[in-house]
Amino acid sequence: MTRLDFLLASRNVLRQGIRSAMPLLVVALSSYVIILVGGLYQYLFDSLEKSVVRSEGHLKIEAVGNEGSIGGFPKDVVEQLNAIEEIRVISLRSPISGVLGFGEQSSIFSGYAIDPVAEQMLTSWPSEIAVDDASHESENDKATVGSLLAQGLSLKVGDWISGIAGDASFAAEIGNIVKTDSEEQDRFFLKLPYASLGGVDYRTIRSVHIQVKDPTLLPQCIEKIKAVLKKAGIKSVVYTEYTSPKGYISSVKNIYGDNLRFIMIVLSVTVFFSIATAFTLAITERTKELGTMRSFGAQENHISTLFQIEALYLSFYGFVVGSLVSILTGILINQFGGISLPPPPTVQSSIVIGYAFNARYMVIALVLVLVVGQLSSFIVTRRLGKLSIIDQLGLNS
Amino acid sequence: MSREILRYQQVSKQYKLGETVIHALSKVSFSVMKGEFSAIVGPSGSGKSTLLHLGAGLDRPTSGSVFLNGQEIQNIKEKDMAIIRNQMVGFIFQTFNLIPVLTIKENVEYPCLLYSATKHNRYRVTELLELVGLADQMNKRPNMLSGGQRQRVAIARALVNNPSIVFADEPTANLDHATGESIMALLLQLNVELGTTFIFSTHDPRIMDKARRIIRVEDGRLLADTAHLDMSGQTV
Repeated sequence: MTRLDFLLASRNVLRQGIRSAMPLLVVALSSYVIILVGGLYQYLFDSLEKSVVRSEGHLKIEAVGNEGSIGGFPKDVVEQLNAIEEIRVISLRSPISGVLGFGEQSSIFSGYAIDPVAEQMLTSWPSEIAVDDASHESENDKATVGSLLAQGLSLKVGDWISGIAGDASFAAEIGNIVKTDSEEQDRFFLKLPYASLGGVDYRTIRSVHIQVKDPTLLPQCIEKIKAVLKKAGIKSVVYTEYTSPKGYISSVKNIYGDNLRFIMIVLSVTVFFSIATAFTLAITERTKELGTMRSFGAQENHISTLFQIEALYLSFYGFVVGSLVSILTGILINQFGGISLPPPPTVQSSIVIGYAFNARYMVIALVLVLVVGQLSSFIVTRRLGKLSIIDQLGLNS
Repeated sequence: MSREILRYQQVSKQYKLGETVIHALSKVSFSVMKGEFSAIVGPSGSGKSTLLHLGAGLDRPTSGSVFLNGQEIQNIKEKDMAIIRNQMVGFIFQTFNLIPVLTIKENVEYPCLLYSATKHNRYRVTELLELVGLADQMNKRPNMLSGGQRQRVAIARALVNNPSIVFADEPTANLDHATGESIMALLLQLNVELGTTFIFSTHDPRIMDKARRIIRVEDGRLLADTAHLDMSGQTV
């Protein structure tokens, strides 16, 4: 490669006008689609992870087969778990069911009891929230009721309900009416703070949700938890790791990842043919120029080098344009609240997808457009190089 | 030392256009001496351009031999032929064939940059542009020049590597008569001043009068060849 090759290539790219614009636009569009689609999927992955970690924690420990008087997780065990330094927050949950009443109406319910302070800490992930603030909020902790249950009992926010859950009675103010994931759950859903049931009954705790300060510390944290539970003689527990490579999030990501890979393969094939066609047209139009160059002594390698450099410039410029526009589109999508997709069957709320930047998709787009650009310009120049100079110059007719 | 620079020996050329075989040249033989200013004349389709293409190494004969500076060129490998085209031959096209994205100066510079340009080459670009009267236009692009000016650029480009012989394929065909006259005058001037051998094709009688030797072809055959005259008009 000489100064002449770079000079000619840059002049060609900058001065060819529409001839350069077409392949450049195709490359830009290809990069745009890859980076944007990748970014939308990345958002999906990120929000899935965030949502699971916020609602379930990094790790769930479920008590199995020791329901009732044996006790789920004794207080001293919970305190020992709380003392593990890697743990950010522990949220305890007890399943509850029973009957609730409002005025003259009553209904059965099913839900769980929670510690609102811990739950608030859980949902604040990954940002830090002061425990004092969470405690302050918890002073007004109220019951959360499923929308269909509330509808059936004509409940509204601020109403007081009372009832019996297991062997405890309760009275609570309704703070929130929510739509749960399914109508089935919605008809009976009730979430109560432990306070309204007279405090935490450690015998009823069925699941312990743990968030760690740093997800990479999860394995050593689990070891410490196992040691505590072993020492306490609690053996019948199931560990669910949400963020581990074999965990729930990874398995969901793999399912979506398969879709994404399929889309990326289809996109890559489309991109390949689009870029190859654009480059082929752009180079074929210049067959006479190749003949002129050869008539002054240019060899096949001079010409192929020139077109390789041109393809490099076009691919790179196209990639830069495509990347910038895709990131800009992503920012706009986020600004306008994301793309709202209709809810899947059995789910009531719609899915909102935003854009999350991931350098991996930029690398994929860059590599793809560079490889396709180089390959197609190489193939076309080789094919045109086989023509005689007279044919290239169009002097044979 | 032989003064012969180019020799066609029993040269035939056939093209295939679809199913039809075109006999562009049939057993043509003649030689060109150093310093000649020769015209190949004949009607359209007579084989003039084919003779120039074969002589310049742009094409290869179907049979017969072409000798350039005593070297039989039709069997030379394409890679070596490219070097010959770059360093021994200059070619001027009827349609100028300038590279549109390059400036005038860069167009002229192009052939000498292909194979390690020397400072001498670069000075020569300026010299040649002065010689063809375009030194003040060297940073313009071809589309900003008139047809005559473009052909002057093409002439400078053909001469930049100081070739032994320059082929010009109907160099005035795309120009008006006055411009054509000035281009021919320039070629003649370069022939005298630089001693470069010129061989050009034309079917314009007013242009062929400028030549010191006229090679007449028709239907791919050599019809007539006038006496060889050197730069001073003396028979060689």
